[in-house]
Amino acid sequence: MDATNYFTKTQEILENATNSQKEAIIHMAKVMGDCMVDQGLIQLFGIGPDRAFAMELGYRAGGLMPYHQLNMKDLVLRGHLTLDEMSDPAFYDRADLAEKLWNLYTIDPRDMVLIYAAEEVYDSTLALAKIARQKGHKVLLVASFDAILNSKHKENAAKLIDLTYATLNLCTPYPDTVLEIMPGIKITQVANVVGNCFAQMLTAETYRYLVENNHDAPILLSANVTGADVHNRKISDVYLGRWNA
Amino acid sequence: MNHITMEVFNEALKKLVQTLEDQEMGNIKEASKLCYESMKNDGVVHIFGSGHSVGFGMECTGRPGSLVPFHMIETSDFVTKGLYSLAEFKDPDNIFERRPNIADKLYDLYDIRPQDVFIIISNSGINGLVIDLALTAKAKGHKIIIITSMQHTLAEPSRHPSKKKLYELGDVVIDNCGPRGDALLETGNIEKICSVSSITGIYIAQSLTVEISRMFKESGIELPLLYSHEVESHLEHNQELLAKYKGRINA
Repeated sequence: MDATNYFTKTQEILENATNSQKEAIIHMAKVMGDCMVDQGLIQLFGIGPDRAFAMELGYRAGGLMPYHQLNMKDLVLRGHLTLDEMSDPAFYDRADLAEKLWNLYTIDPRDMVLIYAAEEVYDSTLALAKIARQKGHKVLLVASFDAILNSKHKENAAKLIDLTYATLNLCTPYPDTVLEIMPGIKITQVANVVGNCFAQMLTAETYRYLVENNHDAPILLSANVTGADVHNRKISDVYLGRWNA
Repeated sequence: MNHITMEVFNEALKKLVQTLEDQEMGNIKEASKLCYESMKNDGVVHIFGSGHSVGFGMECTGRPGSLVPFHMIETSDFVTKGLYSLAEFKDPDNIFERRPNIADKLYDLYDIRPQDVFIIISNSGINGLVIDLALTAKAKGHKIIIITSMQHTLAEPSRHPSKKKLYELGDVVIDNCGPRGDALLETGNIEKICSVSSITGIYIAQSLTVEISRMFKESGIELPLLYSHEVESHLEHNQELLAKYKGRINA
């Protein structure tokens, strides 16, 4: 076994996921595009390693501007929790944190919430989705359905799915390990490759939807290209006060 | 105006990933050897990327099927460990990551030992913080693996006072094969769309895990791997392994 096996296996899983979810990606892109046209932001949420998807869409070079991350670490950075509290193994299951997190930001009625869950739907994730729905926001979900519906928190996953307006299934295996290094022991994960590719496919399709319907599609430049700062500030200032710089 | 669709992105990405596999596998294997040599001597591999590059470290650490002796350094540690205020750290233009002369403070935050190796990731490879951390690690005698976009880094001037770029400081350099500015598709306007460095970064991160694991297996040394939490007999293995590296990794 060597690294080429990872490339081959991942490509196979990615192609299967893309073929299976094509219509769902186009639909979710339209829902997000309509939110952007209405000057709404898409509030991105993922916990622990599941922050990867939010990072891939939120304030990203070559990405669309109207996203914002709801980041649990902001509770520590802004002094609401200590680092020790965040290191507690039960941290993600503290449902009370959802409201504290929500209250950190200025969330507009036009906004929607997009949750990413590659492994588990923790108590705090479900609580956040409930708050969003109670306040009238649409909730979107991108998840490995095999993982979340078979994991320790499977009841949470079923409840979360019931709250969603649109979903994408990563179609990745559970557990999320793909190459066998020893009998019964597997290494290397694939969910975030599919997740990040889905994020970019959503970007492409949302851009197409906006442009085809004669709307602005504000794209960020890499901050590491000369002159990008001026362009990026111009398109982000539209959301000043609502966007967590 | 160019026609942008998910299919257009997928085709372009497929070509890029094939280029990465064809062109960079030798460098990935060399980098894996440096990590393996460190880990078999109880070393830890410290991973640092600022901005979106932090995703590389997240991909390597803390999940079943991951190697335990990886440690992710995050720029937010500057705030959570009390070195800088949130106001100094958070800014809309990513000015913080451009600052030189602060990386030595970051280095001093951790338990870093002589046999440890560094992986430093930056698509542009021109900013003060990553270059300074590489200079600090090099001065302390650590081997350094750089992951960067050669197309981007060769097209932009360095923002570091030395005028050095990150790739110049690597013992091994892996080109992520991405374009300048990271976005892959031309829209027909000044902006390009659909970035790729996080995706190619995951392929590189997981490939390192495969190659390091293979080297452990071939040498007959026990693999420092986090097993699935769902098998009762694995829990003791995981606890012992995490205890061994306590204070040196994120767990």
